[in-house]
Amino acid sequence: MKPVKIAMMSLTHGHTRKYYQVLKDNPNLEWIAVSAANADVKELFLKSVQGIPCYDSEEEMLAAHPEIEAVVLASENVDHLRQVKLCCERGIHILSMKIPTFDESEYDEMIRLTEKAGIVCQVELELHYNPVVMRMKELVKQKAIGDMTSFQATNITLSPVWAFPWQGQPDKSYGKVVPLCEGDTRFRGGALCDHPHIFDMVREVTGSEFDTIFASVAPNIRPDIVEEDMLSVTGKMKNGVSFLLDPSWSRMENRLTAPGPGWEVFPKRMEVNLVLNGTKGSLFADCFGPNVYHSAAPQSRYTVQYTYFDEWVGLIDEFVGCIRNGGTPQINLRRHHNTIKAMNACYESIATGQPVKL
Amino acid sequence: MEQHLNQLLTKYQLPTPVSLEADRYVLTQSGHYPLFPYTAERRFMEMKGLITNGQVTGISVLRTLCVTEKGTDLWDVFYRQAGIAHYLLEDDMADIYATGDGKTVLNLIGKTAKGYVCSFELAATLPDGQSAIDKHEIIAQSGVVCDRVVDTQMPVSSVYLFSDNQTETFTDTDAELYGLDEYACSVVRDAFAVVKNGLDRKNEVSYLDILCEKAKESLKSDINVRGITYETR
Repeated sequence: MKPVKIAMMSLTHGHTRKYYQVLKDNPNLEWIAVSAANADVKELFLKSVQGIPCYDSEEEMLAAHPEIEAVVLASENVDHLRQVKLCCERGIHILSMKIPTFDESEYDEMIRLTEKAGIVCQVELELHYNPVVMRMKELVKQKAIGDMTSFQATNITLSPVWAFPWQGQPDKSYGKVVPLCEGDTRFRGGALCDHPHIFDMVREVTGSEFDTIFASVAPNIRPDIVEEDMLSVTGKMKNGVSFLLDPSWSRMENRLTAPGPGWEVFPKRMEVNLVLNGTKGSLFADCFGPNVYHSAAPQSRYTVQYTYFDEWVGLIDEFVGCIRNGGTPQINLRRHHNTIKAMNACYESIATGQPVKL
Repeated sequence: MEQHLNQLLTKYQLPTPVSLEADRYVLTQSGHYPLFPYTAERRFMEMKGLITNGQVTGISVLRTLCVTEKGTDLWDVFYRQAGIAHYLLEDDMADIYATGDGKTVLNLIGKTAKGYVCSFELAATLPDGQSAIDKHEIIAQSGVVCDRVVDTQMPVSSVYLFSDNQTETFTDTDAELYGLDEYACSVVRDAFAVVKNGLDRKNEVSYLDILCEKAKESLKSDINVRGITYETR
């Protein structure tokens, strides 16, 4: 296969550094360049990666490298539509971060632009390429628990807002400034916006779409951030399966400006656990465990050292395969639309205090 | 359990004999008293202690998971889990929303008067004879309290025996009640506390009855039942 000439834009998204290794290692990719949103991320990139040119603007990078065929939009949510336009104008394939946009009209515009340009636009939901998730899906398909009756999942992490400040700014994360509900001083754009994966997974695993959704927001465990950090979500799929999801930032962090050792306060910085119940039993799965444990530097405190971090390999393989073979990625803009609608329904439920019918 | 209870009462020179009605009531010479065994279960006592002694502050969420064997009445499970939430948080549930079929699965989200969010993931789906799998986690500004080990999904035991003809686990938590399992110990300890202290629990029974009724109402109507009051207590 002829390697795809790929670039990255912005480098401000929390997943940026996950791509460095795979962009270097995958023989089907030729990493051409990056553009940095600001001097700080440029400096961080130059410390992390050698030999890849780093530009100060996207236009400058695209002008200097007309050979670029695909771009990873590693940017804050509010920049996505603008960058999608830049790529579509040039026929460049797009790997979007997990939230293309929360704005319905912007979302429709992205679908129109990418389809008109005839490009591949894949949304990064890396859990699809997690081996534990693969096993879970296989067992469900084999009806190991019979017919599914409920699906529960956590997608809980530390808060990235200290390392990636835009995630703590409602206008950049949610796309606009919207209070959570009457009388609440917080705004949309927090933990929920960081955790679409389990909303997507319940759709895939149940083979159904959201019917009703109810969300309840709790007091923040970080009183100094202006968005929600703790919430619970429940409801029912159209096929009757009940679900309960926890997409919170419930693992406390040290306020580092760049992710690295010592980021976590709670020993495990991220968890995606699943409990699936069915007519013939239950299935429990930890998508990121078991692991390695240490009490070494920098905190000298019991800490989980992850052993699961290869999701980006499969994700990029799918992206490259779709570009070269003319396929459509599983998580494309149209497929992902109902996940975004469900997340917006959570905010609506928080605002009204009642379940939302989808 | 009853024999252990009477032995314990005798040791501490308290009135005997008393009898147990399953794990729900203790019958003494002065009356018939409801039991809430979780109030005498070591893990919950320790979790509560961390709150009451000020180590856990700024509570946000209580997450509860309980998956039991098939055929278990999930409303009984909710009654116990809602009681645990009340015991730990010392705050009444003001709102409750429920989904599921109410028989094999029941998911609920509640909010207490102080704004704590409580989620309950309940199911009766395990094979016959399988012990319940549960987990309780309080998330607060000052940290997390949980009755399960970090990075594990299943409860762990104190002793594991692998021999040619059997695999067994043991969790012995109470030397005075050696031989009883963890749950039976909590029943006996709670009954002992009732006899010793003459605990009147009518208010708690009333609270849980009303909350369960409101949760059933939510399940039936698909609305978040808000502003629950417990005036009859």
